[in-house]
Amino acid sequence: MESLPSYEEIKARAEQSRLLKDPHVKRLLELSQDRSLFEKSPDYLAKLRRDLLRSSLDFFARHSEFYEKLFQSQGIEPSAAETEDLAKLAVPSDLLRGDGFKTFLIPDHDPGGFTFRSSGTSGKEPVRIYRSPLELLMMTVANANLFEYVYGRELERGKGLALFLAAEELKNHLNFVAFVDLALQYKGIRLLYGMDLVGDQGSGPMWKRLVPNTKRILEFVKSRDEPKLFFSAPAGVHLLTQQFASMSLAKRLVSKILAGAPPVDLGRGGVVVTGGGSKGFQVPDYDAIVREARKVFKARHPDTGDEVEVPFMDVLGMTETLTALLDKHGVMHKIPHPLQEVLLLDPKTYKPMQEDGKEGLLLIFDPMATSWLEVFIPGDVVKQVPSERYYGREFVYVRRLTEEEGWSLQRACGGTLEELIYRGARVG
Amino acid sequence: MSDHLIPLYPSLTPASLEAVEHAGTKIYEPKLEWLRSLLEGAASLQSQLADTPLEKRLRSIEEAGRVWREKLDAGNLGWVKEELVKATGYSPPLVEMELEFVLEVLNAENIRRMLDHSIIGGAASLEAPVGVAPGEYVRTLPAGPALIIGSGNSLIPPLIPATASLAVGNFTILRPSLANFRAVAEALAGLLGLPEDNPLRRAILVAYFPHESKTLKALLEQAPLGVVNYWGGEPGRTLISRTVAANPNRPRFVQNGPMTGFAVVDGESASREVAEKLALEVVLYEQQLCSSPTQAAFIGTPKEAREFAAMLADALDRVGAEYPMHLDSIPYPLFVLRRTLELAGARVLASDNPKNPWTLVLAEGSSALGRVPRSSLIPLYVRRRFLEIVAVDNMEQALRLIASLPGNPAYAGVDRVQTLAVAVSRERLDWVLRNLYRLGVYRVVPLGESYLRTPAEPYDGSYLPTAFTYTAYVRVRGP
Repeated sequence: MESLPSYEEIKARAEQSRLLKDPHVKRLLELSQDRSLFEKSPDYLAKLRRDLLRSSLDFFARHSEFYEKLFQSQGIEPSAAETEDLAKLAVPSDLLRGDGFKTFLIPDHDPGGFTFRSSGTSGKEPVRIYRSPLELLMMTVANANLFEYVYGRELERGKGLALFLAAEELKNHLNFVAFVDLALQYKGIRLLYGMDLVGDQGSGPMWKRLVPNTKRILEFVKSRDEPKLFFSAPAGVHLLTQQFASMSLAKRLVSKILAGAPPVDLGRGGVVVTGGGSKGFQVPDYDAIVREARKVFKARHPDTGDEVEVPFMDVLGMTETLTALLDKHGVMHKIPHPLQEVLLLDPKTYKPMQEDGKEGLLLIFDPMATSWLEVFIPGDVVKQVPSERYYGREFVYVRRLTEEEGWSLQRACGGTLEELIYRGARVG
Repeated sequence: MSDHLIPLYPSLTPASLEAVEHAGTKIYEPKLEWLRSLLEGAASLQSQLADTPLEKRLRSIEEAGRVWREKLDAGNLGWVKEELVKATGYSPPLVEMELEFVLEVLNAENIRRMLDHSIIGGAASLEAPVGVAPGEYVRTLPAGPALIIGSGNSLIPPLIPATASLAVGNFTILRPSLANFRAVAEALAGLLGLPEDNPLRRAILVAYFPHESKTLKALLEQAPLGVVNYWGGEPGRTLISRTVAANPNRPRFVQNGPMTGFAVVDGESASREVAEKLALEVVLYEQQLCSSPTQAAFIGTPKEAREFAAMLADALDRVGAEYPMHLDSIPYPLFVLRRTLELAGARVLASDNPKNPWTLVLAEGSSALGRVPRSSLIPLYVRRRFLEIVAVDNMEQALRLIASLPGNPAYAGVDRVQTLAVAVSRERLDWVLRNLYRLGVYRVVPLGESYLRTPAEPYDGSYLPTAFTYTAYVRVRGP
């Protein structure tokens, strides 16, 4: 199995990228680390994204005959491209299964990167995406910056403890696990994995080989480090909540004495971060998960230390995404990184649409991808709503396209985690 | 979809039926014992049919058409139209056209012409020996009882073999599909109104049997059938044929497999009129007929091919608008396929109107569909208003496309090209006629007439009535 490089390794390799000689790529690297973008106006950022779109199309046309021909056949002149042109270029994620992604790689992409893949639990070949070291670096920093914006403050380097209710091996497969791992390395925050993968590949599918690592879970629960960052699929949160909630009074007392929980005190700045949307596999509605979880988790205001409701953040990401969309429950709907262009397509005609509050098919363009032109349609249906924040819009997740609608590709990371957790093991 | 299906036969009683649940529908299936008794009397019934003048038999069938006409004119078939629109996905105007076609299928003169063209000695040989040489005579006799297993979901296809079987004097069991059963039964219901002493009244049973039906299996394996006619492809075809092979009565197994159509247009013949005709072929029956063109060869320059494709796109907009589909959105798999083809370098012209979601794919030299990932392909029978045009240099290359079509994964499930629709110069047409043996197609017709079938036409290489008959030969010597 290929192992995800460490953040330091990635950084070292990325700095050697031949593509950094290209002004476009160099600019992307600088922008990916620019926190001030989150303070810009929506108009400023829209213009910036349009400029990056044009610059990206020019870059890919120069580096790949495939893209040059594609742009010509679609009647797109890079220097005059508009956001709506992305609809003509978007790749349905089904085309990225197996070796499909190789079609889209530019011939001179940087070597030494990593290939992410979905779990393949749908029975079809998994979606696979190659990320160069430079892309991994940009992914790590950009996602960390986005996280901090949604979280509400900068994470102090080396301070706090994180628990991911997943097996560490999953970081070698799933984009969501990987970027969390890398982002926490970048911030110097220690990460514990709350599950183990037992047996070898011959023992059966991955989801049947996950078992909870009680020792690490207890270490997290009992730790006095702050903030405590709890990462999980919604299903994991749901299962943990159920187990605490179903404890008898006696068991609660014993657990309280031995482990200090329930409730699980996440401390100052504590947060629960879920991945996979609110409608995963056989779990309640996301609002219900949050409501019930807040009975067994607690947190404190980062400044005053006063007890507050545990903040919940949810990640919409998949194998194909370089940067994710994050939300904060009750505070903001899903918001992309300032550089990521999000379009909605009319599900009847697949043409761009602008209406607020109307269901549309999600289309994502991430200019920070330099190995392939990352404009794709993952198969999720969302709504957009106006926003006073930097992006000008926020997105409300609705659902995935149903099998009947023709979509058979499940969400690769969070949804997969939900299935893995729900089917494979019980927490605690 | 109706919530129950009741067989059509004059002497049915509740005791002769068994109710089974299938796909959310209550199926009233004839009991095996009742079927056996019916089949035991089949020889006698067929004898009575043979003694009935052919003209009377044909007029009796036409009577069912007259009853259908009355219902149609009175607006009593709205439920049939609604069911077929839902089951087939065809536009209401197209379904209305099909309801009218029933009258042509049940028309006595059309049936007689079909028989005259089909049978040695003509239709007359069904009534008496006909001389075919000095001292030599033939008479055509029913080979049944016949069991016809239809598939698909439209109305006409199962009526054609059923009518042929009845006309030649067979006791016939017709098993339509779940989707079209009620419509088919309604089309033949007029036979129940025939006089008691008319054997045609008792000559056909229309019943639905689920695929897993034990009664159907017993019929195929044991019943004293003379002919089993199966319409459809794999895997059903193989399963049925193996089951029939075990029948000790050795019924004749006649299969009509899935096929498709192919169009050839050359630069000399390309015009808006030709584009209009091809557009009609693409829209009619949503390309579900075995004759509907699903691939086309354009003989000419790439520029000419693009110009013709543009004309065809305009024509599809116009023609398709007259037959709106019952869709609210462009199906996502279709969107994926279109995009896949574009990413593969093919030129795709497409409509974004869900009511008329046509797609044209223009490729050069070889099939673009054959090169896309299989995971992106939509099965041929799910593609609607979808035509791939391959620009080629000459007829030889067009022939190679026809020959290779069954092996193209994008056309999986097709046995072969059935119909070649041509709009070409006289010289190229002559080439086609000289090379029919290499083409392997069953029909060559003018482009725009693929869906038309005259009474003189054979069905997939043979005349359909011959599937339900055998020929008795007599030789006499003079004193």
